[in-house]
Amino acid sequence: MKARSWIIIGVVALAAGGAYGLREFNRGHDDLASSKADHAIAAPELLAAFVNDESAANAQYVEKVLQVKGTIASIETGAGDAPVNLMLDSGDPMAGILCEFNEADLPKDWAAGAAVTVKGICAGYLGSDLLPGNVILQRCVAVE
Amino acid sequence: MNLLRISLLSLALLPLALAAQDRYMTRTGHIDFHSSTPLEDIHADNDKVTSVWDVTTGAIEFSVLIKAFTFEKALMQEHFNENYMESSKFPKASFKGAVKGVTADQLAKAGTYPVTAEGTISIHGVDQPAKAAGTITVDGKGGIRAESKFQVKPEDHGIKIPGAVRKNIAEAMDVSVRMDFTKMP
Repeated sequence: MKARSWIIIGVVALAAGGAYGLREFNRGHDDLASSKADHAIAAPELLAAFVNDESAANAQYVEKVLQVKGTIASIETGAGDAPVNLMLDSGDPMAGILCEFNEADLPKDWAAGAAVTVKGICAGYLGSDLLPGNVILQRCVAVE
Repeated sequence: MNLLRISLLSLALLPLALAAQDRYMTRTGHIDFHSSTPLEDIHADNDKVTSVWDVTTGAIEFSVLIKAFTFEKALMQEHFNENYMESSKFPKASFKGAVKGVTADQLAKAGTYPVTAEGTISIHGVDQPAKAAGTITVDGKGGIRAESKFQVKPEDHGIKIPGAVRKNIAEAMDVSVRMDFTKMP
């Protein structure tokens, strides 16, 4: 009787472990529409944080859900299945907050000049020797 | 006298002004990599490649954020960043080198030009010499697209793959790059 109980417990544990493993393996990305933002910040301040101290800003903002308020500088639709790129104005014409949207997640009435709030995951800050950096947000959704 | 000085100065600065007009850039270039083995297919995309290309000198540079690579499965993306690329320690990968095979004059005409890029690729904090063939396509509207396919071996860049999963990951990753360049202001 005792041995049988142990076998049953073992089988149940294995099944539960397997189910958990399979679920974890196939897990998709969190839906940002229902995630709470870790930080709420204005677009020019977010860019300034990375320009002033990139490693401190990396530690504070990268891989975090950011809710960013700003004015749309441009919206560019990519070729084929490429995502839509929305740039939030930072005050610097050569740099901004580059927000990656799936076309379906971008409100149809958004256009350059509109004041908006965006929620996305921060991937970091990217520029080059010849180009000032942008802050990159991915999997963006509209907040307002 | 003064007029002559100004004219000479303008002439002297002219090449600089001309050279500056032959720089092209993108902030939304595409790069993807694919690993295929009988056990598993791994694929990730990154649509946020920054690149600047000076057509006059041929000098080109690319840079990408490792954390901007997106995988279909969240767990795979987490393992890629934490266990393999250590992207908090090495947040960026880059290529610096030169493109040969196309001139500024050719870019004014529609056509497809075979080119080679040669330089240094830096991944996971380890630099390696790299050479790849590609094409530059100029469309009727003056749009310029650069494309290339090449391979990268994780072990060449000090990326350790545990023995238990070695057979799940290809020896060499197939990498594709596609950039739509615009002229720099």
